[in-house]
Amino acid sequence: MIFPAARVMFLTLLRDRGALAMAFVLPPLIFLIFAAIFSAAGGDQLRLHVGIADLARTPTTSRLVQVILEEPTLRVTYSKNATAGDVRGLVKDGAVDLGLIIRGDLNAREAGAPVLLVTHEARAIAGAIMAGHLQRLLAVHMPDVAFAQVLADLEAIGGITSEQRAWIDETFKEKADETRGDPRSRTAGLVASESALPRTAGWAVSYYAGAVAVMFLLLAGIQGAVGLIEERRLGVYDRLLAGPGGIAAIILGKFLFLVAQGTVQAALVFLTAYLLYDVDFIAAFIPWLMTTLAVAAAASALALGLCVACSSRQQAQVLSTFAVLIVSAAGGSMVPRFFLPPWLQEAGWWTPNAWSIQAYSSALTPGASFSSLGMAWAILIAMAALALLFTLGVSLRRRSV
Amino acid sequence: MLQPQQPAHPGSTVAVLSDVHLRFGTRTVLEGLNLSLAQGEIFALLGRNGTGKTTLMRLLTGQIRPTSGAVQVFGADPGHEAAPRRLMSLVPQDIALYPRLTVRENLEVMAGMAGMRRAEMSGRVDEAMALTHVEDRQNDLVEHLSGGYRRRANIAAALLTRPRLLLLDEPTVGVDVDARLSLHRTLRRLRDDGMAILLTTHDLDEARALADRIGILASGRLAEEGPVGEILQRMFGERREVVVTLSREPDHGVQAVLQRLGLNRTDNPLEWASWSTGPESFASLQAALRRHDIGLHEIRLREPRLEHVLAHVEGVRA
Repeated sequence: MIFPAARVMFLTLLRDRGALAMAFVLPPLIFLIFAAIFSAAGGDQLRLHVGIADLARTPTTSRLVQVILEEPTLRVTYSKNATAGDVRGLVKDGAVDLGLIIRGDLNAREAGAPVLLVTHEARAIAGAIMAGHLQRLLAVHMPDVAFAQVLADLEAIGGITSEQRAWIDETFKEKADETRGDPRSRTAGLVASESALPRTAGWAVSYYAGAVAVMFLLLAGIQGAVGLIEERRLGVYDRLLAGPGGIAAIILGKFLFLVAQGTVQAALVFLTAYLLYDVDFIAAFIPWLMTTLAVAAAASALALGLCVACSSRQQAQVLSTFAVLIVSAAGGSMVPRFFLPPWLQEAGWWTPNAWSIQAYSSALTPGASFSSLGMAWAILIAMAALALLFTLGVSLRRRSV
Repeated sequence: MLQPQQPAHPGSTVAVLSDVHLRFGTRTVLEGLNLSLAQGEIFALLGRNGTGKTTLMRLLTGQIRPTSGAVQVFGADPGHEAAPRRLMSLVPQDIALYPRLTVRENLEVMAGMAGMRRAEMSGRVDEAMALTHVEDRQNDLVEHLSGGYRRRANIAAALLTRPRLLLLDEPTVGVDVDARLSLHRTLRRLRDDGMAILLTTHDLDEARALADRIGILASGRLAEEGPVGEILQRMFGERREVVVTLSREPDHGVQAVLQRLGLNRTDNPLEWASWSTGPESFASLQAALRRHDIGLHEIRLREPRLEHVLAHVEGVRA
């Protein structure tokens, strides 16, 4: 009795081109877009667009402008004659992410900070990122300027004499001229970094493969589960209830089909990620498959539960759109969870999305602890079981309504 | 235990509803309903919308249980036991088939959902299609079928399990005359094979043409029940309806005379009707109309019909 219910869903899906595209074409496509957006935003490909006005036009400020122009992680709009008003205008118009107005020589401290960052409230994070860039560029490419600031402070408190400072300045300038063009001296610093994983693009986008997969599993699950309402409306339930057939068999058949469909959907998303971003899910195929089955089971059962509680197709569509968008946003399917405020990250644990993302992350990360993966699997399976019980309970109860 | 293929015994009782009361909250739907169905008969259930026809079917299928009273189908309570449900099938009012599946696929799926084994499925599907004459459209998607074929396929799906009791909820709504007559032939054949058939309908011609017995549901109970001829005889005896068709629309004076003669206007302003108790009263009415010089186009006697029974039961003048 379970197989016929699954066969109905399979044939119906096969003959509905829109549903087919939604189920198997859209998820990889959306994944590609999300991966392109967020791998850049969350990885090392974020290139801020900076508008510069050098009002001071001293040798030091010219060096700074040159350093910024040569920096590959920045895009720069610069004109020698640009004014502060021009830069502010570019920021307001959104033509650049932020502005940089060099108001005075970098070694002159009398008139306040010589460099002014002009930010836009909508892109406030760009200011913080640019401030970090500036510190790094000064430390690596213009250490004389950075050190001059320290010396000035020392001179102000009487730590060194004017003569000593002049000598140090001169020595620094000579050294800087000698080492210009030598990358070894520029990379030296207090902080170095390494990745816990081999440096490939795959790890950056594997998050989004899981995040997009679970969102589309929910959407496609609801698309399929809406059939429950149609069957009720058409009288198929009445027909079956009047005969020897059972509602439980239909629900289980639908559930199994949706799990199979979800597994194929997730496989397509991860295959796209594998082919284009080197997300090597095949190396961890068994954990990946187990995770996919758990995610598909949770998404399918939740979709069935939501649809069985609705009295009409329209109601189900409105409610499901609302629910899927909310859980996807809060659970990290739309925006990476590390971008979310702490309270939303906590709230996200109530969604299947967050646990699915967590499970995929643990399943695909070599050496990740099993406790994290096991916990995610357990919660996803518990969600599936509860939602399936709810669906069966409501369906059987409707028999007597 | 009852088996679907158990041979039918014409005349034996299939279903009995005894003093059934049903309330949904404060709304009373059925109030002391009594009904019995026999093997090898077609019973047509008539009544206005909302009188409880579909509810009665759901009681028989066990989908709802009575507030009080007893429902017995094949000797068991379908609300508590699965055995009676193995012997009955329901044809819902809507086309309860999957529109994007072919007729054959639908029937195979329905057979599978009814727990039929694959080995016997093909034969049963062919048999159901042959009974309802849908074989030639078996590979068409249901959504591409005409209304008549959809109805036939809807019935075919209910015949897969070879039920001994077939419940049809308005089976011929929206089908043309040919399709309806074809369905009637199918139902008669099933009845002749020993199947008990309960159908609800608003089509009085259908009930008259098809049913061995009818029941009229009103105020939560069967207000009339029995063969159509018996009910008409019981309710009208020798009385016949006199229908007077005037040659022109009557003025107020003529209308007053017609009313004094016991005639009532029908939906047609030229047509007035009364009940005659015999040839004498018919003749006297004719004479009276002539005496008042009322222009007649036609005057005729009409046999009492189901419409009259229904109108009488429901308290509405036909």
